[in-house]
Amino acid sequence: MADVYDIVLLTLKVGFVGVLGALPFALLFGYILARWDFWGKAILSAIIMLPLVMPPVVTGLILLDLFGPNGILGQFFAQFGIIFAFRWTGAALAAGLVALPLMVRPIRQGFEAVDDELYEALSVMGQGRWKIFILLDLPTALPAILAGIILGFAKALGEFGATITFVASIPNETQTLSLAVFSALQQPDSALKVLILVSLSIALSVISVVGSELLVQKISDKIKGRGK
Amino acid sequence: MNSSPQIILQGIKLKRKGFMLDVNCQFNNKITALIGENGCGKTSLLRLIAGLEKPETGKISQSEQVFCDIKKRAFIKAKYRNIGMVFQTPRLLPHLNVLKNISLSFSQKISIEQMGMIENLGITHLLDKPVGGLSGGEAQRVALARAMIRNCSILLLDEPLSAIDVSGKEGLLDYFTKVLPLLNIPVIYVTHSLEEAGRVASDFMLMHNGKIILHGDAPTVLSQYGKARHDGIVSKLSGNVMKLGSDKIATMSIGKQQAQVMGMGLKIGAKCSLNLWARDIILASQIVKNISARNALSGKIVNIKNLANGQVEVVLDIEGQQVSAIIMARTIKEMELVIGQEIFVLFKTLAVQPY
Repeated sequence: MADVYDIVLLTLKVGFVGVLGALPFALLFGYILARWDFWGKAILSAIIMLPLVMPPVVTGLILLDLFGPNGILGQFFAQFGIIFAFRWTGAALAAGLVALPLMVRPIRQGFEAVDDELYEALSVMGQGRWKIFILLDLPTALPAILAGIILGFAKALGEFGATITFVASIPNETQTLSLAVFSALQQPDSALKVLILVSLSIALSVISVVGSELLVQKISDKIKGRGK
Repeated sequence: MNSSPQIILQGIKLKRKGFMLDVNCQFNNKITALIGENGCGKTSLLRLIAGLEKPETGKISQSEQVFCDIKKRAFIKAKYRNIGMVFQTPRLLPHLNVLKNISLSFSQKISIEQMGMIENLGITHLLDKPVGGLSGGEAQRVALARAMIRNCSILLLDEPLSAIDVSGKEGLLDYFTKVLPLLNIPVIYVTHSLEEAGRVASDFMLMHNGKIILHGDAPTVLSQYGKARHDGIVSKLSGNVMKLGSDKIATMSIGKQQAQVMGMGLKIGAKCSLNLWARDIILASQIVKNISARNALSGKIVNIKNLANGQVEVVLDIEGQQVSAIIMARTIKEMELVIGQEIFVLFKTLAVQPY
């Protein structure tokens, strides 16, 4: 059972790090798409959505090309000792990338819901754009940002195609829950292990989704001034 | 008091749905009521001064500082203009409590003097409350505190009472009449209630269809108001409060005569004014008994002017004050009214709001 425990830990680590890494980009793109009008906005939006609609294997291949040992970005990061290929970091990168579109969408909607009238009131009061972001945009969009994080995390937990293409299925390094289920399925006499892994997968998903619902509700109440 | 103009708008043009804002005007350290019907450009004018809108042409300056000069491509952002503004709705941040909302526009620690202002606004007990549970009146008081706490050099009030119930309005109006004259900065008060304007402001500015048609002290603008808009002729009658009845009716003296008005908010001995709408006035050539209009002032016809649609404006002199009434031309003939004739001016206690 020790390896099941390790698989769950690794899955959580990959999910957390992936989503954490994707978050600044999700906030940036969400904000830009919600608040700015510029030429090429639709194109940017489409590019961000690509990992959602592209076959995951293709995403994995692109990652391998860019972040592999011979890829431009792979070589760039290697200078700082960060290696993605066939490492858990690569699994986190793949997870973050496929989670990104699912995070951007609710975050963008969250920023779009920010009241322009409050924005004006704050600028008349002498607040600049950055201060308004902290005082108004961020708190207003917080439930949406959380929803985006949870959604992204859930997606990251189940990531399979891009991960297996980019970093393969290496036990204790890149073999997350879904990869472990797939690998166990191919071994004889592993019905019990598959059952355990599948149950854990379902449990993790349910916990994160239900937990996020409760959290979002609580924060949303507080932001609307109904909290104590 | 410094009476040189503090805010100057020159050749300002701004296209808006339904009208073209086109203004040249000045504001000094007084309280100016900006009046006019809905959608005539009052709010747009405030937004231009606040820096929330950019005009297509023109220049806006305050004392030595140029806020905006389209020719020179100069535009100072709203955040640098040091303006206090209260909007039609309170616009408070819902996730912060009252004190934090007030402190938003002020980076230093709140002084004792400012605490006094908060106390005068009657919101001290609310400081640690979330803004979600405030009543409309309370929330607007918080918004006012937020605007006034930062020692702004201009105060803009955009129909600050429009979203408040009657009881809340009365208290805030009292506060405005006491505090605004002490500020000694330009205060612009947008409203379409003449009662409100009359109580709060010393100057009136009347807008119509994106243009300023009248600007001056309140009595002058009020007396010319009719010329600007026939259907809205309004006159002002001033006097002193003599008696307050237990039935909420106050008696006020107007020269040697007396009028009965609603007594709420009045004090014995205090000066008091009424805005009389020309269409609300009934003229009678003799005293009428058993009529529900409680007021019958005697006056003299000084002028009769023909208006459109078979209507006539009758200008009357009551104790040296001019009052206009609008009646049908046919009535003039039937009653045989002529200039110089003595006549009774009838109006209901309920038709006038003293202030």
